[in-house]
Amino acid sequence: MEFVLIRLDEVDSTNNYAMARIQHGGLPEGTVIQALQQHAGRGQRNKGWISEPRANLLVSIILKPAVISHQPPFLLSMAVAAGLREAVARICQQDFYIKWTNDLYWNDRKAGGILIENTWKGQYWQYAVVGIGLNVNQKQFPPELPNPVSLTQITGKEYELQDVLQEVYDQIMKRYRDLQGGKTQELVQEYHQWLYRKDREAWYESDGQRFRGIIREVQPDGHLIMDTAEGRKSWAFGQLEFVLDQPATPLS
Amino acid sequence: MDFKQIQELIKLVSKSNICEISIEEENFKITIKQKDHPSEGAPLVQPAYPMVPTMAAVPPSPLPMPATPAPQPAAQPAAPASAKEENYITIKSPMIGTFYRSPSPDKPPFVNVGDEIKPGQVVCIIEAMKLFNEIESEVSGRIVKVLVEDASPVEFDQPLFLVEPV
Repeated sequence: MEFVLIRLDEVDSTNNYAMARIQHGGLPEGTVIQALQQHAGRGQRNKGWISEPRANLLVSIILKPAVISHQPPFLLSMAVAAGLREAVARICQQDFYIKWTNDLYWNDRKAGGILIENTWKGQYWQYAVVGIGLNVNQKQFPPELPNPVSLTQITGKEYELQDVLQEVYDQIMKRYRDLQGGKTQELVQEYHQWLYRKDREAWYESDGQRFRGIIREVQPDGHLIMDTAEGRKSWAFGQLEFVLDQPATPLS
Repeated sequence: MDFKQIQELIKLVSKSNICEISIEEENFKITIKQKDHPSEGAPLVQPAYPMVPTMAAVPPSPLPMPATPAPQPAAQPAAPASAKEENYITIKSPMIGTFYRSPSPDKPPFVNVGDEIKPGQVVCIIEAMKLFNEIESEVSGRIVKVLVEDASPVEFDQPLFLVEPV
């Protein structure tokens, strides 16, 4: 798929840039903002994203999701996560997984993240800015990051960022179009097929308490459904931590 | 766009006061007109707009919008309702989530009491499942009251701001 690309040597964050640009209008849907370096890349609120210059894919895709305003916005998060996962799985010929809500995982390590910002006027979903950070050619990470990994660390190969971008773009836009076309079920199914730790018993933490649980499902509104010793629980994002120093075990 | 979506769209248009809506996607174009609308047959001059599921056909452009919602009385008539207060407009949350008054913790709030706002201006962020939603005002006016504490949970349709029209 072809797209309009705005490439920047350096920017605070591609999402900030995109959010500022859409105020002025004029950019077609699907426009990509790419930065070779970000000095204030953003993860979730308060959390930064650290990248070696020119090593990683740092992009934001501008969407106009008006047609799906009546759908749960979280479905877009599912579509983007599933698209990014499929793209890197093809590039690396490896299994990647989606860690709830939308992190990209290889084994128990994080290879990429997604940050989506929307603008709403009343009930009308004007824009979605889909920010993606994918560790591609970075060879070393700061020690304070708990579990980073890059594509080059996984396969030993170096990748052309523009080739990676094309594959990522194609896979995400395909699922976005599917969502617009009403193919929600296939998308939800794909998300669950690759959901990290689904149906495996593992350790989690909430409010300082550690406990074992089995992820069963993510609802279309984003809630995580988990079986625990105290029964079935539903979590919103931010309420639950994945304990990463203890591996998950398959159910016997 | 599939058949079900077209059906939904027709339903929405017939329930609304839109006389005509036109949507154009790659290899696809649809125009829906209301039968008994006086402007039927008038030439369509606007470019194709994306579908709008609620009431108004709003182009995704920074053009100033007419204020669509009818003025409503304040949600909590705690104080004796004066004639003036009844004219206040509430800005409501379009979703369940966490209400934030500033773009990030180290930045000043988008709006404060006494500020004048205009349509399209961002008034807050609602965060829901790691989706960050900037909420734009649909109305012009002055912020009279902020009804929700920063970083606290909000429900769908919960009033967030009280606005005095100017």
